[in-house]
Amino acid sequence: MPILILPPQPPQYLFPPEADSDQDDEKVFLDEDGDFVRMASGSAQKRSNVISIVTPGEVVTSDPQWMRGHGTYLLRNKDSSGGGEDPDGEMEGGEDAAGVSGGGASGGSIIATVAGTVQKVNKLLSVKPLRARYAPEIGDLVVGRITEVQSKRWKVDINSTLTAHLLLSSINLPGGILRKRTSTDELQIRTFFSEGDLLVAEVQSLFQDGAASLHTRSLKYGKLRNGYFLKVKAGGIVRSKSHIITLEAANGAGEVDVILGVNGYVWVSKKVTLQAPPGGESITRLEEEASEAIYSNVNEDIAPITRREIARIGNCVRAMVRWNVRVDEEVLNAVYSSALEFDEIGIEDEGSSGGGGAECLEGEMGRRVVQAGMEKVREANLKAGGMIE
Amino acid sequence: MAPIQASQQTSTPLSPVELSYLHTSLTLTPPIRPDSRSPTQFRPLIAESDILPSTNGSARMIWGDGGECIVGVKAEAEKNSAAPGGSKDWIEINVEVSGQRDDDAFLGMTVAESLLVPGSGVLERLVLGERFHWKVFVDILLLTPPLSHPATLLTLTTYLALRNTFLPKSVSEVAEDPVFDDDWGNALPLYPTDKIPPPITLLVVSVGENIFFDPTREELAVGDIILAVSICGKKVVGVRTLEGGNGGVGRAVIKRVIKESCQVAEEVFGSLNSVEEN
Repeated sequence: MPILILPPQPPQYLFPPEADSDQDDEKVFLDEDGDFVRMASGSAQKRSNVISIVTPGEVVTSDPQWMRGHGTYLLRNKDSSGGGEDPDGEMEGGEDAAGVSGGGASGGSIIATVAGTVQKVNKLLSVKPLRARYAPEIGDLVVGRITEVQSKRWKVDINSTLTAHLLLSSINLPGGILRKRTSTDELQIRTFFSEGDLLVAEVQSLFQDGAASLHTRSLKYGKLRNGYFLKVKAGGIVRSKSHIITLEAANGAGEVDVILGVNGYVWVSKKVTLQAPPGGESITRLEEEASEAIYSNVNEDIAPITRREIARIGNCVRAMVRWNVRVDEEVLNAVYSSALEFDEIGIEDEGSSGGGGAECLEGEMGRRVVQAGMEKVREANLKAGGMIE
Repeated sequence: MAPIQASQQTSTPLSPVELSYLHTSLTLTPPIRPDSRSPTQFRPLIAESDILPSTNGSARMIWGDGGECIVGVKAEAEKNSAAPGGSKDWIEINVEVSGQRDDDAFLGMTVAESLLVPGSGVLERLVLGERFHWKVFVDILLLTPPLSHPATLLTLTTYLALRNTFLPKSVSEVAEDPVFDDDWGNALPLYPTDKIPPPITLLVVSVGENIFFDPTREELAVGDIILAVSICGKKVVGVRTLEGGNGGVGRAVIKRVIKESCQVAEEVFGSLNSVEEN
């Protein structure tokens, strides 16, 4: 069946976040009117504490004991002579703050500026947005696309509110890492990167306005080749130890690199090793050799089998983000291998196509693959735990 | 064409290496699509009908890449006029793309063209006796334009809404002024399932010898030629090329496009009809 048309599903079931074990028996989902509905799942009916979602402009609290954090602002009341009622109890449950008029001994109320969940750390109150653009931080590994070429810099789209800058002085120039940039380089700036090119870089610093300045001064970074670009939501990939993952692809497809940009841009490509020159030369020599080819716009030969696995890994990443699962080496490996298994056994029952389409991990199929992968991770963890004991 | 196309591609072009990777993958036999779909497979859609109580028929559809579209159909009885427009004026289509100027008639034309192709039988159903006819207003609201071309989304949603349209039963004679049954329970579908259905438009992109249905934005970018194939019932009633292709196409490929479109459309019609039953 080439087309699958589903009715809209009210309970948008996502895997609960693992970290907050005290919240995972409760799910928040959108009902058909687009409202958030809270539902305690299964046996956990006893819990009365709820996840509260606030919308922009909603008063989170008018209790003066809280400090405002990200995603909120403080609105001062006109007449701050409000009575000294007991401010406690206003914040219970975190959501009943509609009673603005009553509280506010110091005459201020904290109002949300984004739609999201309220978070409290000691006395700091912040709202964590449900969906946001990427906010760059120094040291982040990002994948970006050149949008504009200027005389000494490139503008790079990194899925942030502002485009990032990549200065000509912060890339590896061909002909040695220690070379100074010259006016010739400025004139041929488009030979390094031109509009549309993809690159992987690190956030070097932040400007006053929050825009990022990138650098590619490492052999790990630079222009991207030999693969496929995909985009997931910015929060889908969290900062972790390593963002460049190498998977051993199945069916003899060789190794596949996955670059998980913190900004939600992902690059899946065939692993290309730099061949060391035969004479066993120094590392700087290697760098010089490499940098000649660093800005080439030509793919290597990629076998069809590798392309197939690249597509499959891309689907895995997409499905994992779609179903709210942390993307890292361990989980990605597990999900990938369960995707392979699902493809092998084929899908007999409903909900998926026979024939060539079984690899596609959209919709329900993706959910099952991710679930199977998570199951694997859990088993492995249990086993590891057992061994330690 | 294309204010809409252009505005969707405001984002910069793909890099040369991406284009070459995609093009090679898609020309292989069997081709490898970036999301592992088979060439005729669609991304999963979410659809529902009969969502707006104040219309005669309505539908909502959410496309795989996030495009969302709502269509409402309203009808009124109108006297036949001798104007030269003739029966072409019996359907009025209005497309509104949220966040864009509404004086761009292009998308409406795309839908109208496919609805009004001769032989589709859409207009014949609107006749109300000798002197009157239904005038149908199709209001299309594109809440989020899809990343790929919106033609398919619009026509599929319009199809669903038209299929869902019920009009009061006429109780008058052919020569009289129309009088209708008061009971909405007796209302008749404008396009009953057994009659010929309104047409839909599918987007097909050809890369080398291969053809793909429901192309994504990337696939459109490397396509040799992009075709909008209108299908009514079991036959193709129109093929148009859309701007953006960067190559040519042979006759044999076009023949295959037409043949496969018919098969795919049959499945699409089947799935769309099952939406109404839910």
